[in-house]
Amino acid sequence: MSDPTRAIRLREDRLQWLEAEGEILALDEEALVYLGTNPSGRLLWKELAAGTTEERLAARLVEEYGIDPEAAARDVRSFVAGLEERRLLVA
Amino acid sequence: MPQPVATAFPEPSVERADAALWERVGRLVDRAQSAAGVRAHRLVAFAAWRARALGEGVGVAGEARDAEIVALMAPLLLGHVRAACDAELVLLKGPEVSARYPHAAARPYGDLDLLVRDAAAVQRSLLDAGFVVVGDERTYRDIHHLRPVHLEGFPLVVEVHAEPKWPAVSAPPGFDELLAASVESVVPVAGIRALPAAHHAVLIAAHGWAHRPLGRLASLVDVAAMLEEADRDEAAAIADGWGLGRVWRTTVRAIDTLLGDASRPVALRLWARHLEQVREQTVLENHLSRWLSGWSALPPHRAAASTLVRIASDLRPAPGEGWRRKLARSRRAVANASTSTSEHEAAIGLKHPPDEEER
Repeated sequence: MSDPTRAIRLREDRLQWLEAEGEILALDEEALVYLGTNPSGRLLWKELAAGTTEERLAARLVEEYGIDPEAAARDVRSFVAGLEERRLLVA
Repeated sequence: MPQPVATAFPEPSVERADAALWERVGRLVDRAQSAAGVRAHRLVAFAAWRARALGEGVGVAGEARDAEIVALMAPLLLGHVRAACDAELVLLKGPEVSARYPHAAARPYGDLDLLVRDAAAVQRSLLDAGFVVVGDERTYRDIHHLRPVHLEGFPLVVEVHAEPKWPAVSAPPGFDELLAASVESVVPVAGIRALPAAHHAVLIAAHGWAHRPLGRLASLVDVAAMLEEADRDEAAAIADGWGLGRVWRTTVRAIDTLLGDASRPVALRLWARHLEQVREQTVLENHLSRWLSGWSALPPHRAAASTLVRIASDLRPAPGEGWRRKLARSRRAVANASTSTSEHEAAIGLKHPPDEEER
């Protein structure tokens, strides 16, 4: 079980990314894989670029979309886990 | 709210060319005596990528960073093009070539070249969809593609081609022939076609030759990258069928000399020595190229005629130029014979449109 208060951030050393048409387009330079997000993913991505915690990310989803906090926490966990699997986050 | 996701785009359906090729290209770039040489051959981004891969680069050169941004935006832009018209679209060069390089940052491009059956109709559809024409209208008059079109927010333009750029030695293949040979593009946008590697390698060689015979290393490296994936005999047969047999054989021989251990063809000994030394062509080499490159592209009787026509053209004053001025220009060219063409042109105040080489 991950700690939702742990500080996390996108790895600047291997990601090139930009915002276009409401989405994030990113290039994982090490794995040579392109990534794209949907608009809610964009929100999380930008927070992660600045450095944040899962707890704060979930709060941002609640604030922006008015969803249930538990659902927000689940969605954040899933999003963060996907990036962790690709080794795109640092603590 | 849809669940937030970060998904990977589909992997390109091609293999990036073998690492050994890029090692050989890297060794060639290392021969450059100056950064100007690397720039003249359009290999700055490749050199920056390589330095980074070897742990020597502190940062990434602007060209390499721009190349990454463009690679990210190209599929989006192609999506807009696809949505704007239902014509058959064959993507040439750019993303197709870049996908064969070791990294998007190593092979920049600034436009998307689309070959279509009815260029005017496709251009109209793009303009109706919000694209706007850019560039000086005079620059694009009577050439193989229409004026570039730009969509706000994108760092690259689209060029709609009626035909591929082609050297004067033969007629370019028609759209239907190229479409019939086409395969799905590496760009993850449904309905975008591209040429198979063998066809594409020959087309890039033709394009490069039409700009300037054996002019830049970047063009030869593009051909080499495509050729890694192609059957050489098939490519040679395609070139013969398109009336480009000699151009193709000269191009491949140059590649095999520069990136392998083939013996030097005459061209590399006479007028394309700048390739091996990774520097700009000198004034003398430039003249020799104009006079003699026909011998590497045409049958002997046509090559002889081409040489005579070009020498005669170079010896006469340009339209509107008197003999006095012509003689002064010739004296300066002789004095600057070993100077790079760009330095010589700067000295005589000759300016090219910035995108002339890209047309």
